[in-house]
Amino acid sequence: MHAKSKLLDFFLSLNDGETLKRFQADPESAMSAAGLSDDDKALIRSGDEARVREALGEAGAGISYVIVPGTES
Amino acid sequence: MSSGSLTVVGTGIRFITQITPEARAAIEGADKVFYISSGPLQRRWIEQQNPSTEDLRPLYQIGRPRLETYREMADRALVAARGGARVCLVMYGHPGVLVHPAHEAIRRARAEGITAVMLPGVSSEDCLFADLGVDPGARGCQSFEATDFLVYRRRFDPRSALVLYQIAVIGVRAHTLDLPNKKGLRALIAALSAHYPEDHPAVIYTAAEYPGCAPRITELPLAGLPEAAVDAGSTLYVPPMEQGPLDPKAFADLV
Repeated sequence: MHAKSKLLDFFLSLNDGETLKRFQADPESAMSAAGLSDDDKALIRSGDEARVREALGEAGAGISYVIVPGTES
Repeated sequence: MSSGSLTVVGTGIRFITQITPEARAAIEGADKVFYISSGPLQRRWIEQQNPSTEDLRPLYQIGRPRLETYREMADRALVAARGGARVCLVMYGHPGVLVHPAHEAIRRARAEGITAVMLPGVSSEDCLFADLGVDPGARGCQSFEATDFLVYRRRFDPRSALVLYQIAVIGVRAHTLDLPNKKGLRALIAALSAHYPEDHPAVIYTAAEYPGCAPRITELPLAGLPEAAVDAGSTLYVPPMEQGPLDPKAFADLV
């Protein structure tokens, strides 16, 4: 079970340079310091973006595509 | 001349970690921020940087012509700039790469005498170079949007790298969730087969959007593309064919 708000807060916390440095140097301790659950840590550890997106409530979000002018027909 | 201004920035591809300092400053310092949210995470981040924001994503509607949507996005930014506001228009990735409303907003702002500038950002192609170990300067690199590549029958040199954006939406002209367009993929392979053998290696690439996540990289022979897993963010990378010989006379003419 993933706590959506905890995950959101964790990713938002990476906006701080020191927090990002800690995550890059030692992801496990950074996740523990943020109070993430074992499930959330496993999710981030998996690097599975589709599951991360779903857990964040972003399923269906992500990159949208662009129609280049002149190619409409 | 309006006292307003327009600054167009990109957030990069990977959330938070690829925003440049100057883009961040432009967002924080704006009177009004317009953005196209890629989800609740980005929305919350932007709202934390500036209290005056407007998400333009609701302007996308199923079946609505995309160019109409892009025009309205530019309109919203310009109305605020004409009113004297320092406007920041925030796009995903590099704001100048495959982002029609950004260029249109800049063009129209400057035509009206409004100061307008675009700040570069990290694009998905930049991520591709890093993740696949490609140096675009080594053998040359040609980038096209996939539909444009086909309908204009773009000429290219298969002895240089080829990057094709948006392979999932070839021929798709309005907002849709029914992707990929397999007919478009088959047309692409038919066009490429004139230049490459069917077993020429290729890569379907999607840059990672979240910290800690890996890009999606699928290596396959070109012929396998129509049946491969392709999503809206997929880019096709085709490595160069064998290098042709250097022309000694061309080289001699240079020195």
